[in-house]
Amino acid sequence: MKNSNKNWLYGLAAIVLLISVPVWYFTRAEGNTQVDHPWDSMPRRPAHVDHKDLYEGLTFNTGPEVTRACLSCHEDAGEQVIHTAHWRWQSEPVMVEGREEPVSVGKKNSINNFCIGIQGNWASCTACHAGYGWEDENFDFEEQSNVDCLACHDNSGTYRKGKMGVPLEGVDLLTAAKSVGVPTRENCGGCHFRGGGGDAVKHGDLDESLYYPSDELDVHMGRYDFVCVDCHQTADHVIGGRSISVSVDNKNQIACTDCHQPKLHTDARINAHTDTLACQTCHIPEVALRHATKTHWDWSAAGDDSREEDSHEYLKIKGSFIYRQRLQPEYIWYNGVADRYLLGDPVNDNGPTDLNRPKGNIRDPEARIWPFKIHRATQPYDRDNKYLLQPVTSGEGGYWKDFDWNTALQLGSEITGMDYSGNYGFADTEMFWPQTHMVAPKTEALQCQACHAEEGRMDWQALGYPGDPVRWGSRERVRNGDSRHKQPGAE
Amino acid sequence: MNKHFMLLTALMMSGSGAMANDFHPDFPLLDKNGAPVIESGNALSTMVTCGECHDTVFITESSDHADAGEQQLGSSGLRHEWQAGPGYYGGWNPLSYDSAFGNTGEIDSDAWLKRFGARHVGGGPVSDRVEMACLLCHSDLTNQAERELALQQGDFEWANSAPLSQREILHRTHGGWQWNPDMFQPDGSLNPGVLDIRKPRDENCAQCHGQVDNSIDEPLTITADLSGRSMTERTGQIVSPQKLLNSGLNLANKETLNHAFDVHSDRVVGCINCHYSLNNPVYFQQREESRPVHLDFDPRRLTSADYLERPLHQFAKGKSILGLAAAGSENSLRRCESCHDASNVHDWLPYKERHFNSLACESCHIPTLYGPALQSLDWTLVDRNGQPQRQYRDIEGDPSTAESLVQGYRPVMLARENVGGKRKLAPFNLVTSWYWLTGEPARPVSREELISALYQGDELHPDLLAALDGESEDRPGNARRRLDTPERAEAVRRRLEASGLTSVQLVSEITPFSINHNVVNGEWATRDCSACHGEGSVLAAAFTLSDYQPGGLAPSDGHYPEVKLDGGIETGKGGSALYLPYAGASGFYIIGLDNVTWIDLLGLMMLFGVSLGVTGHALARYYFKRKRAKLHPAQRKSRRRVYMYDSYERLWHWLQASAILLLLATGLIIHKPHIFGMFSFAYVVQVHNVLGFILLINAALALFYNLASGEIRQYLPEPKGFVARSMAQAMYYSRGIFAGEPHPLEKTKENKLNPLQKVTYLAILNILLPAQVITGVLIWGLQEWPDVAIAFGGLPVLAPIHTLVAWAFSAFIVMHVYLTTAAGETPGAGIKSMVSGWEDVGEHAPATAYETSENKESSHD
Repeated sequence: MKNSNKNWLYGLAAIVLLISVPVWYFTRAEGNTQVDHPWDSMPRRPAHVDHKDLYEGLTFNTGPEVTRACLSCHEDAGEQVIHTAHWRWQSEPVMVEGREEPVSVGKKNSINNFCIGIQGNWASCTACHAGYGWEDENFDFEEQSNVDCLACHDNSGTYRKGKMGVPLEGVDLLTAAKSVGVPTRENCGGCHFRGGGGDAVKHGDLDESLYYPSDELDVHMGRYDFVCVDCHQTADHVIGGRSISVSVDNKNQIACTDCHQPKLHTDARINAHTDTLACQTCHIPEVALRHATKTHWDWSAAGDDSREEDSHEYLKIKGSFIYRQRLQPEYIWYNGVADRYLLGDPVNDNGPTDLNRPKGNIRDPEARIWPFKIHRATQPYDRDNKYLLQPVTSGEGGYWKDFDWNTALQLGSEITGMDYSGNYGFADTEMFWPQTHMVAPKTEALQCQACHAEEGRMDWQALGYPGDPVRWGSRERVRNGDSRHKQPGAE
Repeated sequence: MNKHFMLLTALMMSGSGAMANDFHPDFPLLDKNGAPVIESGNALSTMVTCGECHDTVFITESSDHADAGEQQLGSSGLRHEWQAGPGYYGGWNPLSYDSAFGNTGEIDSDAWLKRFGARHVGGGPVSDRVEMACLLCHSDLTNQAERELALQQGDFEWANSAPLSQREILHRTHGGWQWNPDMFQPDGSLNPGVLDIRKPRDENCAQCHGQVDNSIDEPLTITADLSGRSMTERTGQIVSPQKLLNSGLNLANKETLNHAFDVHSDRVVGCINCHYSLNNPVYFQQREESRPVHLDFDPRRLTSADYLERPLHQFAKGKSILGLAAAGSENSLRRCESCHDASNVHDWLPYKERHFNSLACESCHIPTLYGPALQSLDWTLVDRNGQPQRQYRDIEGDPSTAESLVQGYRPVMLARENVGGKRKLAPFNLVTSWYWLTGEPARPVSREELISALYQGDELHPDLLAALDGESEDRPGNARRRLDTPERAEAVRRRLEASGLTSVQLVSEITPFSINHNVVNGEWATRDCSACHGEGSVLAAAFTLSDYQPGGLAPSDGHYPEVKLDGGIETGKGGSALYLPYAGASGFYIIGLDNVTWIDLLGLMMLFGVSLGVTGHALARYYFKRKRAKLHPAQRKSRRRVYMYDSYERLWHWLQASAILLLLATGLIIHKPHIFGMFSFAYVVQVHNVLGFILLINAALALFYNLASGEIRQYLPEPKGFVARSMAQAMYYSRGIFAGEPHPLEKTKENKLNPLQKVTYLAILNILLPAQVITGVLIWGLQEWPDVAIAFGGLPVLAPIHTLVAWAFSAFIVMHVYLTTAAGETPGAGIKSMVSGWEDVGEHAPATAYETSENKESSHD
């Protein structure tokens, strides 16, 4: 009888299985939409140690004194920071396609088409350096006590830097030191929202409206309250992210797909677009939503006493500008890396000189169509030597003081070691800024008509299509001659 | 240096802006004599100008838009006896109301052009007055106000030239028109870029057909005057890629409506992508019935040049009510399934094919409409300007102002006759009109007659004021007077007759308009099964026809052959008129919604009756048992354990029991899903189907086992002494059991069933189970081989049988479970034995009965 007591359990199990297995098998959900779990990728930070009571008996008169206090506990931090781009403003040597020698570039030694370059203008530019005292080419990049910990870690909001990155008069260093924590939007934004010398000037997708953004302005920072370092995750003081304005390689880059599945749209047609478009292309329909960003800068117009000054239109020291609010990006193939204009490279005789043209084209499978802010400028160059010149702008003999291009360019060229013929002119240049912040909520993402209507925002022929791919075929056809058997998603 | 800058700026600005079609060559604008208009000063002749290259005679003759029903004037079967034809020209409908008949009874073309010409392309019946206006559809001049004005003024000759004045090509002068020489080149053609000649874009079609707005940045609003927006006014369809939440409409729950008004528009599918010219070689596809079976594609096609010279101006179309009456091109449109392969993306939908066969795609894919759709039109008491009272659906307030809250309305589902005669449920709007008829033969009282009879100056006629105002004091503000009682309608009728009209009578008419645009994709389509399957089904939801019924006259069916109004018309709250759809009349049986009431009542009665009887029996047993226990305490019978059921018998029994119980439970949920809202209908349906097959397979295996083992004999009643033994069994249940008498059956492994059981099981196994399995499999089979089920009457027959048998099963189970308590020596013995296989058998039978061979044989004879 004991035996049969067990038997009925087996019977019950058999019945449950005989019913549940077929039910499960025939009703199981089928679907291949990828499930998105973006929050799994978010950093989870333990509460930061309160530093309030850690400086007993200490007084701070200079930045380096604070740094030494920091390093007394965070022993590795100084060594870590002095190898980072935020400190060196220059990359490790990298082999770049089309050049013989490895190049080591960065803010330190390159030229842009805003304030042109830091060489000769160190004191002004290095106000945004994460260090203290960079006033000329002799700055010691190995001296750890010159690292500015507070620039990134001050959480008091009272810390401000002036020329050469030195704390401004009146900054209470002890208060700042007691407040230290994980970098806030203010720490990053203090420099990055003000690139180009003021709010919203440079990036287009980064400006001070992101300190307190609405949902529509940036869905991550607005609706979900992200801070910069949630995406720009950091290990050993190496902060994630790359910008083709200063970097020539694509290492340590951040992508939407770090957190989101690439094919998460419920609509197959939209998913098919992800082979061709960057997420940003649809999800950032416009940038500079609140604050206008600079799109054009004509240095050649500078020095005119007769023109009325307006910081968004004309300044005697800088020339004339165009600013745009709600800027619709321009669309270019981009495979993640860009060319880089280096000092001494020839200017383009036919049309503008690209300082950092994104690489990639319709035949490059790695390339996607990306949204860019293109900053177009007219800036000084050497007519005889046919290269762009680095002027001294601020300081003694600088253009902003004397309004004499010849002297400013002469001084600048001495510092960069370039030959200056004395015959200067102005050349058109373009700089490319991939747009990746100010991600709109999905309700605001671009719709088909935005690009595929009769008068859509894409210039298909410039992108290498014979016409709108809705009718003329996708880039598969362009690559392979015929798309009939190679439709995306049709395999 | 600033030059750079201007250049840059200019480059930047030139990014957008209209891109002219630079393929179309420049051409001189010619008058009807072939002379350049700039020289002759005459009006533009499109026939001559465009006819230089295109075959304008062919185009006009092939154009449904030009013909507008002229070819069918006088055809039979017209909806109203006062109509001259079925189409726009000579037709009549209660929405546009007016007719253009002269005193002779013939159509007065001048009057017709003045009243209707603005929405007619020209040519066809009025070709002697107004040529086809090519530019109406083929240019970027999409504001036709000047043309409309010229037509209204009777300036027919210049009507097609007039819109060019918007581009300064032409000026209106005193008593005439003057071409502007600054806009012309020496050869008589226009300066480059002045006028874009192109394929028709949506905004061209929109001029007459409906609210179309292809901008995605400008919030969409509704124009106040919907008279030229027929599609929008009739159904609320708005063709726009704009997302509802970005529109300028004051929509309820707007922030959740993250989809475009129309997914095709969103996906850059324009009007002409579906409504293409029927000989356009890009789209042309030979109809299957006119194609040899061996030929999929005929490569001998028109060239582009052929087509451009002689493009058919018959466009692919469906079948519209109150349309052009273009019989030749009717139903030439591709259907949804010509472009879409729905079967690939509906795997989530149980009974996919069944749904496809019963429902038009639009039924689920056009769930709600947000435009101002007419609900009713009351011509009984027009205003001073001859305007009827219009009610719009689900809009709180005036539809043309932004303050009005738009709820959006769910269209009514009606059985629509599709190509091939198949009826499918499809979404419709129903517009109900009331108007007066007069005379013999009857005709509608004209607007002018209404105004002159009802008004004196700007005020209502004194006779009417007396009759209407007395009752209208409760009407707040300046709300318009309504003839919402028979008395008021009678007052107006008398006034009309007093004005000289004879035999004035009030009539009503429901016009159904099919809804085919404003499609949403799967994400926004109706996916919730309970939308149809259950009490709140949209297939049965009351659809408001009107908030009131003029003269107390109920709306009457307009009897359109394409659509059946099978449901009932009822008066709702506050005198409103409601339409109650009933798809059953068209042969649909919607599971979860439809049921046969008497079957459910009968089933419930069976279940309750059996339960009641069983309860009474049990109570009586309990009572007598206690009584006996007092009389003969602790009289212990000797018992013996017998191995009654072997393991396979027990397995199939319990598997079958579980399957049946689960089938009854899931079946009940499917039958009345609204009572069990927590369950997913689709999931339960699938589970039910799987369980059904488990039951079927289990039954088949059990049958095989019983056949192979010979156990089947146990189920067959022995004829010998059957009646007596049945009686004995019946007597036992009705008497002996109470007295504690022994069970008449000596239950052994070989003879477990008493004669009553045998009969019951025979009935269950031969009638109920097969009936349930067959109806169930047929219903299941509706998705793969619907014809088989339909041969047996389809769901309307199968479903009620299935339900009835399910009720019978449930009643049987109650009885069966109860009788197990009477089967063994103790109440629990029967169930226990079916669990363990061992049963305590009382010793009242010969002690060796189980083991003896004669007993075995006796059970077999």
